[in-house]
Amino acid sequence: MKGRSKGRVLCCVGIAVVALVAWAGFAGQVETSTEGMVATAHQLASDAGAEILAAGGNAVDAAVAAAFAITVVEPNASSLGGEGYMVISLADGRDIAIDYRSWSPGHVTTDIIPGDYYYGAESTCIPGVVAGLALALEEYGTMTLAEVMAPAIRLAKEGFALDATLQSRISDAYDWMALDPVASEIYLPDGLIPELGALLVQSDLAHAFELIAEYGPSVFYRGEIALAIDEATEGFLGYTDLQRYAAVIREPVLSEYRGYEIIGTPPIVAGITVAETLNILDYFDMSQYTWSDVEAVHIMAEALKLGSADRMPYIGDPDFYDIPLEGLLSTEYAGARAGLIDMDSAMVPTKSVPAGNPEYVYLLQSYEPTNEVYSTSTTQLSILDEDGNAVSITQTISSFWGSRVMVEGYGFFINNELHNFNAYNPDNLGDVNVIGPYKRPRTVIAPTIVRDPDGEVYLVVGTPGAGRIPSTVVETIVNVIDFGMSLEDAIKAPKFCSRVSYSTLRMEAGYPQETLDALADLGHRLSTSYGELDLYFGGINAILVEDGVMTGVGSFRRDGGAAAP
Amino acid sequence: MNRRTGAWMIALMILVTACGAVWAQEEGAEPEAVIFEQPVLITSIGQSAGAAQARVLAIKAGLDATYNQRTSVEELESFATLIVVMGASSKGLGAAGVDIDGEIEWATELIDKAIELGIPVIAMHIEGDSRRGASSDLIATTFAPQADYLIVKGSMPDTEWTEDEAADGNKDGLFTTLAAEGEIPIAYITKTLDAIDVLVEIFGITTDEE
Repeated sequence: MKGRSKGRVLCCVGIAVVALVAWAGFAGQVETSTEGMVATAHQLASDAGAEILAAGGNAVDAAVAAAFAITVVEPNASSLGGEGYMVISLADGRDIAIDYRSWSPGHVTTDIIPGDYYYGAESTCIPGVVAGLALALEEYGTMTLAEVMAPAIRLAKEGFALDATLQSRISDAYDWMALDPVASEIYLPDGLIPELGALLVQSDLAHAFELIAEYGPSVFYRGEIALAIDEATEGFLGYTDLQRYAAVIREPVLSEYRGYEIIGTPPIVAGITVAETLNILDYFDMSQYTWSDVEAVHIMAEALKLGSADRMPYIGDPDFYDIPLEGLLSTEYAGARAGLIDMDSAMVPTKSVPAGNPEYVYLLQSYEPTNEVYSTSTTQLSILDEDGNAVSITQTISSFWGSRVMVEGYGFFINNELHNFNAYNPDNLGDVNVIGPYKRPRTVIAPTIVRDPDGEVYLVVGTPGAGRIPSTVVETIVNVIDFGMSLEDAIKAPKFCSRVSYSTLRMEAGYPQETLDALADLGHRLSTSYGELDLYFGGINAILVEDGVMTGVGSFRRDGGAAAP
Repeated sequence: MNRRTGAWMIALMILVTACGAVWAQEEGAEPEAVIFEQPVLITSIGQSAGAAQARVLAIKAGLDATYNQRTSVEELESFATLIVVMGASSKGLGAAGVDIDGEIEWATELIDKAIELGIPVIAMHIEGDSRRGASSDLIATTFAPQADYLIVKGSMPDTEWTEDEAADGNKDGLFTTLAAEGEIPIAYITKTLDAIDVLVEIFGITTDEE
């Protein structure tokens, strides 16, 4: 072979090797199967769910298994001391939502200013993860707690290799964790951040799991773990508070978009915002655009502002407030809201986006949106079995590492959800998110399931990302349904965030400059300081079904993983 | 030999001696060793968790060490050695209320003062590849050349790296190059704990058993 030809061959081989390595790097993040799928924020949690599917469990069994496992491998974002919401769509046609949001303890009053307590015992709420997962399994699963918790127990007891993402979260927490003898004993051996690949064993957490597996949720809410939580929070979460807690089965929010059924979470979280926004978008022919066209971004941005504007006056704890769900979800109401979108001008988010009145379909006076602060410490799990049962879970402890209060002897952090309440304001007596006893604080999680026009599960989706959650979920659904993108491309495509409480339109890197310029010409104030595949915009873990083939995608923004049985 | 010839010979001898000294230096003769003494001040450039870990390492090494995540020029005067741990953290910089430019400005003043006072500087980079990037590299290229000793978690030249690739803070040889260009002694470690032995050696710490 002549020299020049040899060089070309070697070059091609080199390119092929690089391409193979690059592809292999995402191989665990994208999987296909016809027999079931689990997509979560960590490969080991996805593997745990897939293990249960392979053992004959259904999607609910697998979801509960993965949800316990994620508390082991992503302890900064999910724990037994956390909370969540689960949407289930069963092959027999039933759609269910399980509310295991945390509750404020019974002694809180309006004298407490939630924003004053971001960390520590006084930032905590009664956790719901154990009650919620146990309820889901009991009502809709086929296996025992001991069976589905086995992978999580094994991971905690035998340990797993520390990955770069968790190491980074430990590094970020080093300043306070090094001063906490309980947490540092587990996460800072020798007082140092563990090396990559080091075995992280969580024996205390394994012990807690084993107790729950043997005795059920009662050991957590009425037994020794409840006493330990009481002690760890110095009585802020008292034993009687824990005894009182219960997860609740609710009707999910059902809406339709382009003939697809959207199954989302009811209040007090953001399924209603996603549904409202999609209802508004249904009045526009989005299929004539692509994800990067200025018209597409503008319409979605305005629709998201309108959807989020209705949260403030209406979305409160459904056990305390009557919520005009029927009105908010009506297509007539969506049409009135869609009529407010001006293709030549952007609404100023914090000033000129009024809430609507779903009962009368005319406008209320505008209001001052409160400065809601949500944490990015959340995790998404998407599960689908071969029979067509689907589960979407978003689970959280609010901030990374939650309240920073670890329950000694049981190895988990407690959430810091209390700051998600509003402080009492005598000038806003109608505030539906004001702090009070045994209430759920309002947040923006939005686990979602989409059925196609034939009634089959089409998409299981959700994301962490705090205030970016509704935008990211809506854009992903539009990318797939309207723009015909593959799930991988739909997730990777740059995202933006628009909501009434953000004064700027926040743009992930990757939008064409002409689109950004055109958005600015329409009056949008842009924030463009974000990088490519920026964690700020969430970490979608999702499953798409086409022609009977399930594609599972673990987050590209957060090192997720997908697994099949 | 007349006077002129002698003068030429003396001049030649001087020239040869001078050339010999220069040649010896260019051939890599050991620079004059820096003596590191205690007490030690440990601080961060970049506000990552590295400096707090260096405090733990110093304690384990038996050093008389004080840790201040972002020290002051005034505090420096009480110490015999300054250890700076390099690595940019956006979270840490944000908590300190500074951006990278402000951090560089503050650290420049600190290092300049250390040099003025004759306080030797040990620069550490012990958080691997996670503390490499635009801001971290700016810190490294600015301040490593001014150090009297470098401790780096990362691969040595021509040596296989056996740990996780993401733990290699020197995979592109940046610190090797900086050390060579500045003739700065450099110690490579594979695990953070290994820095203890390096500190024991360069501070000349002996135990009761020795």
